[in-house]
Amino acid sequence: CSDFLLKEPLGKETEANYFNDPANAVLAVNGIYDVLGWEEGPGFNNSGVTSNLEWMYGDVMSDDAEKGSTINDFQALQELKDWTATSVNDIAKGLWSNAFAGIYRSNNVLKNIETANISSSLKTRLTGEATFLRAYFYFYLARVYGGVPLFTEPVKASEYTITKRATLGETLKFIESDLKNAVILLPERGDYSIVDLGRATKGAANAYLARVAMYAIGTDNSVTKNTWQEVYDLTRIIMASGQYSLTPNYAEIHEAEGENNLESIFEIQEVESSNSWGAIKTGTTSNIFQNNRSTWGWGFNNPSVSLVSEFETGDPRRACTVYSKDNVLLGTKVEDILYPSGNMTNYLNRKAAILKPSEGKESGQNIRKMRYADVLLMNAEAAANIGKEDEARQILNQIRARAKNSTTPKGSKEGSPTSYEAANIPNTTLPAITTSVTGKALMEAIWHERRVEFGMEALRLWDLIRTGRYLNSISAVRKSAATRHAINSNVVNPVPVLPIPLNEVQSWGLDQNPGY
Amino acid sequence: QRQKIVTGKVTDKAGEGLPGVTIRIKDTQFGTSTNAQGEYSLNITDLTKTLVATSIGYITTEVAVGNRSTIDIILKSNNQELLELVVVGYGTAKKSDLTGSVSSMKSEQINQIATPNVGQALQGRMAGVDVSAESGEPGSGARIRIRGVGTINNSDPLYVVDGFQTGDISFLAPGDIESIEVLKDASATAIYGSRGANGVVLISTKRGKKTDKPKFSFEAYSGFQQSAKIISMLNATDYATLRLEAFENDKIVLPTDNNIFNRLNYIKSGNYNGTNWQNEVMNSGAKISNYSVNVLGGNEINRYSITGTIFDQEGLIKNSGMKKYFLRFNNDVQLRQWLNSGLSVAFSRFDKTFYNSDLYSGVLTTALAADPITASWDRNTNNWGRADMSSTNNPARSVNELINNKGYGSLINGNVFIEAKFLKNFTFRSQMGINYNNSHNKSYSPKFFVSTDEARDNSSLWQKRGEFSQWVLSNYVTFNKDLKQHSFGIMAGTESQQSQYSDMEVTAYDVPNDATQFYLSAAKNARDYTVKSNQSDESILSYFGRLNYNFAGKYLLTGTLRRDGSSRFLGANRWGTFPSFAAAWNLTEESFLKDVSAIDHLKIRVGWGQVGNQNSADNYGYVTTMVGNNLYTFNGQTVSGFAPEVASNKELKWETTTSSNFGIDFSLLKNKLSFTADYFIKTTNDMIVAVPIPTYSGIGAAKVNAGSVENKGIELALSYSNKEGELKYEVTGNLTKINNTVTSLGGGTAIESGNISKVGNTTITEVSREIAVFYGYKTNGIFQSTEELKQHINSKGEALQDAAQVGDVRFVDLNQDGIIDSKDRTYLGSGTPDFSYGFTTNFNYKNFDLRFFFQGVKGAEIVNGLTFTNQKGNLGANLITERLNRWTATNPSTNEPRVTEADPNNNYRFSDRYVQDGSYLRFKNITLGYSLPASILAKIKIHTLRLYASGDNILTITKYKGYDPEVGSYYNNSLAYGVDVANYPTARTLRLGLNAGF
Repeated sequence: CSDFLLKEPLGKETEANYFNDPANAVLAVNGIYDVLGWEEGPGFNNSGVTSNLEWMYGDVMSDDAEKGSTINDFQALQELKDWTATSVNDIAKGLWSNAFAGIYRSNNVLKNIETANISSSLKTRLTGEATFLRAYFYFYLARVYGGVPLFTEPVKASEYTITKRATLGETLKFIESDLKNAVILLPERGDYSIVDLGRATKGAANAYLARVAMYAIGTDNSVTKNTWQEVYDLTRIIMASGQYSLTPNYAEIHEAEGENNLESIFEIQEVESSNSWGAIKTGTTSNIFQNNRSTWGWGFNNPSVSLVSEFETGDPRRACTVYSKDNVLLGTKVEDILYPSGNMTNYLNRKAAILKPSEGKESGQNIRKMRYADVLLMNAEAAANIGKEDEARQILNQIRARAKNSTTPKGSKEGSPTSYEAANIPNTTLPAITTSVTGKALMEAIWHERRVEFGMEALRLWDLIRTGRYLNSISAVRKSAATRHAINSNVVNPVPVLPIPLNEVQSWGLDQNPGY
Repeated sequence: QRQKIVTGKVTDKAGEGLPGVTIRIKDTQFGTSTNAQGEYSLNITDLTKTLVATSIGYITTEVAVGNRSTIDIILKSNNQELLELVVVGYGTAKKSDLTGSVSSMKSEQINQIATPNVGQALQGRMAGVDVSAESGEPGSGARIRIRGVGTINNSDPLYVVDGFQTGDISFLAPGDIESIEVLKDASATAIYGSRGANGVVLISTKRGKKTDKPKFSFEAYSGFQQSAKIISMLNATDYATLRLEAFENDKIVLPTDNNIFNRLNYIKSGNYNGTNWQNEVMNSGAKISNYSVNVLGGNEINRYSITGTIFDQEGLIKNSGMKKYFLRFNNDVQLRQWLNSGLSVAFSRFDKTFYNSDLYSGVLTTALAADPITASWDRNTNNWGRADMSSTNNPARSVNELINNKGYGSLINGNVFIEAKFLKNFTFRSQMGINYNNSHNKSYSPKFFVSTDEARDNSSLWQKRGEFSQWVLSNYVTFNKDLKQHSFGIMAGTESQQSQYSDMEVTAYDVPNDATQFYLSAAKNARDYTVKSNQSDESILSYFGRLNYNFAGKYLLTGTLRRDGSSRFLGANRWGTFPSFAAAWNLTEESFLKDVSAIDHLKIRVGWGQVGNQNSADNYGYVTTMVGNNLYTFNGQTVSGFAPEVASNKELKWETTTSSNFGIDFSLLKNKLSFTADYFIKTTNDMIVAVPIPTYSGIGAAKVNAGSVENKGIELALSYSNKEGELKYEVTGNLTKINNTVTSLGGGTAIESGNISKVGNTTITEVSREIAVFYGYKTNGIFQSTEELKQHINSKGEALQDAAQVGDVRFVDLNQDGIIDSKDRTYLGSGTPDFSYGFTTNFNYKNFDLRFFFQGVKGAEIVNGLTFTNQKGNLGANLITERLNRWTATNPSTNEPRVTEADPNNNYRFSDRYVQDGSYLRFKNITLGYSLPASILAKIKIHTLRLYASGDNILTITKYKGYDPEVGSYYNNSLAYGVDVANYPTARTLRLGLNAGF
């Protein structure tokens, strides 16, 4: 009789026995990586999730870009830029939901993998990957919201009502500790087999460790107490690892042939498909968002005039970063970019420009998160700060020399979509930084180089915040709004942050950020 | 023993001979039946003491033989209401012997409204049974709540069709039904144990009867429907005027070459109506028709009924119709005197299109939001118009796509029983039923291009096929014994049932846009497919029994007990025991009332019972499963990923509902007036709650037994019928008042729900309030002048709303803490009515009949979820015409805020401005019929012929400004009841019909 009432879930393995099968541990870790690519969902507990991509913060909220598209379109993004977002802002809600789903998945793997019947080397690697990814999600959260609740295990029901937000400093400490573990556990890029290309590496963990330390130095360093020496040492480790080098031709970095190349330290892997929503999505909406509204895009994230004028005359990176009407893009002349009705600056992001995929919302362009050039420029900034100005200048010049050698962007000649043409720039372009550039001027030169090297790569906002330049880089109205939302205690520079989603504050008693 | 012959005639009270009456020697199988004149002749012996005369529709009568040889018998009709047999769980009872709270409804009422949905036919008919249509979409369901909402989970009643238990009765056509009984209190439903908590709807289908010759009847109606309401929206010129005013208010200076700016100015300067999008998506005269044929007949041995129905309805929204076919065969066979059996087989099939009700891409939601300037079809581009001013999809294009959004279903329900009488007082019944449901959904999304943001790059075809099967096997024995004035009834049985479901869905890409190619084999993209499946298997095992005791028809006692085991729970929580007791006192049987001629019947009922609700639990809610399809890519190759998505709870157990009932029934004035009143208290404990959890937990919430809900209510039903000359009339009415209170959430925090995008949550469920009360800011008009704005300050003299300008909404600092924030939100009403009612009047005069049916609710509120869209004008959405009266410097005395898109004051945060009075009184039906006189019928050889004209939803009196105050739940979420996001409107239907009998 009791057999009649005994039922097992059909077609699904249960969490309890999942890790018994050795092959499943890898699949569970893949499930964490999946969250890296979530842009719209799925979202839990009836909380709908709207598109959230890192450039919406990193570029649009900085002086590098305007929202773009038509005035009405996607007001939630304009709210971010204007610092008028409220706690129901869909973009900010979406990131919160997605990042914590990633953290849950990491914690779930970390909790269960102990008992998994797999080789110790695989267990070490998978533990490293889950730890790295948890740090990745937390660092994203920390930059957007400040301190957040910290969990090393799947959240228990008993923790719901007692959970509080950690401070920004504590959160950065947590991230730092995860990344330090990941450095120990993860293999170098070269130690992975080719089928695993795209997984987290020792190099990626070290690079993020440097980035986190540098962010802490300029924001809340009260817990981590990071030093420029640390940043310098970490970047030196990567430089000495022999795993990475600069791509000879800058123009190639964001093209298909630049994906996962020797300069790449970490990227979100994307591949075209027809499934444009949810966890089964394998491509990105990033390209249709930023593509030309008069062709197949929506025309968002328009490079600002301020960014364009930052480029030195003749710098080939300008044409690799922005384009406008009448430019030739991947072999085809740009007839119109709908300025001003569907574009706000007369420029579009060249780094997101690709040929139309079969499904616009499922583009296959990998999103570059950490390049070796960034490691070098972090090293330069650290070197300058610890008095090694020569080294700093030397690295700066290495970056500038590479830029100078760049060709024109891919397909700059009508009818030749795949060719790179010589840039033919005068030799005086991008001169080497001489020993006369020192102190404050050297720091300005490094910051300038970061802005043009990483233009439209969603790094600008946090570079501005950690160096204390953000509030003065935006309009007076925005500055006053951002100031109201800034964390001011224990910080080196004011850190304006976005609102915590309404539900977390109202129902679960998390403290809201200032001014919301 | 000597043989002798007795003869006689059986007549009714009027002396008319009754054919086909069975005359039997008591306690034997020997007997005969009367001839066409009602005469009989029977061989008996001198040992024969008593004859028993039985006939359907008459009270079984015993007569003593004595030494008579001619025995005439007069049979009393049993169609007096109190002697009617009422179906109860696993048996029948005389209405006078009922101890629980049961309401009934006959086939005539069920067929008064034009609907293929039996649930909708119940609306307004019974006290305590609250029915609302989920929407006006053809084929949509009905929400039936018996005695209030007992749980935030599944509050649907259990249906029992001819003894077969099921959750889905869509295989039934209203025309198949003979009667419906609704068991309301726990003493009546406890016999259904774990599935009785939300009430039980017992349905008896039309069964064969003994007739001289087969009876053939034909019923048909046909008519037109139109939307009972169109929402008045701005025309193009008014829209342009308000948009430009909003830009001006927001100090947005658009460049002079701005496309939008120039078009708005052009339209403003003229006098343009523009596009009426509601007209573009609605059908002006949607047809509805229904044809039903029934053949019924039989003899002593075999009786049958066959019904076929075709229903065809076009939707009010273009391309949203449904066709449905029903076939039913019932057969009863008297195998032996002591053994009979029966069979029912029903088949139905539907073919419908699915409506899209999404807030952003839905048909009506976009029809209300789309700017009126854009043409539905742009003649310049020879393409759909691009509604770029309002950033919406073209509603005409969306409605055009519905035609490829199809659903088909085939449902089979079969039922067979055998019933044996043995050892004098025992009856054994065994019944086996099967439900089989095959569903097929198919949706084609064509490739199209209107603009870069209204385009689909890739065509796709989605197909889903599902198969549901359920069987129930019941075996039970009944023992009945009368000992002088004491009569006993005992019933005991067992039951097992199993339900299995599995489906498969596939999406394929790049399929040609041609109806003959909407098949997976036509997909040109060979690489990409999405494949999914869902499956489940569950079972219930039960033991149950009932004891009835009746003393002289005066004192009635009933006790029931059921023990259920369910596969949805683990270990000790698997089995649940559900008892009930009830008592009734027929005062009119007492000597002190017997002679009071004014009172025909008076009964007092008291009952108590406990029932469970296993349907609130998910099938495998006790274990967390790993979900695949979390894809990522390494080295350019897509890999699979797995992750748990919803948490689990091993301790999950039954929801238990305890209810007490006090009732009184009485009839006065020679049964012309009858009245029933009930008071009940119904408490649901261990309510299963997916307690919302913080988003930071990163996973879907587990279900826990955390809450309790109490419903207290009064139900009144009154009926009066009389006859004056040739005029016969009947008035019946019912009223239900229920107070719903959440008494515990198990220490959990309040549950916010009813999320409307951009607006946030609209309801809160918390202790000591109703389930899902609306919760938001309180407003106090708008700032009509600078002085008013200046006065809106806190005790420190700081502005309470520092971003507000004149013309903005004034929010109330309810907690007076000097700032207006989320702590100032308060209760703004709920979708649950204070009371609901229905009343019917029937008149018959000579050959004419006239019926009215009214139904309504009082004290319900509705959240008009489109306020943000159509009053704020979010993203350039069109506005309702009330917004023309917005605040301006020259029109300060108004309650309509100024127009602003930037809306720095957040005028349209969720507040009482969204909440409207949802009370309504609906003239649900009027029917005027004419039956042809017998003299004419005789000539055309038709037995009966009635012609009628009927109107449904003729008039709805309400203050609600949306389409319809009967709104259902947003996204079918029980915590969003009363949240309206342009629900598919209810149709006003006018039709002509005929009923013919041969």
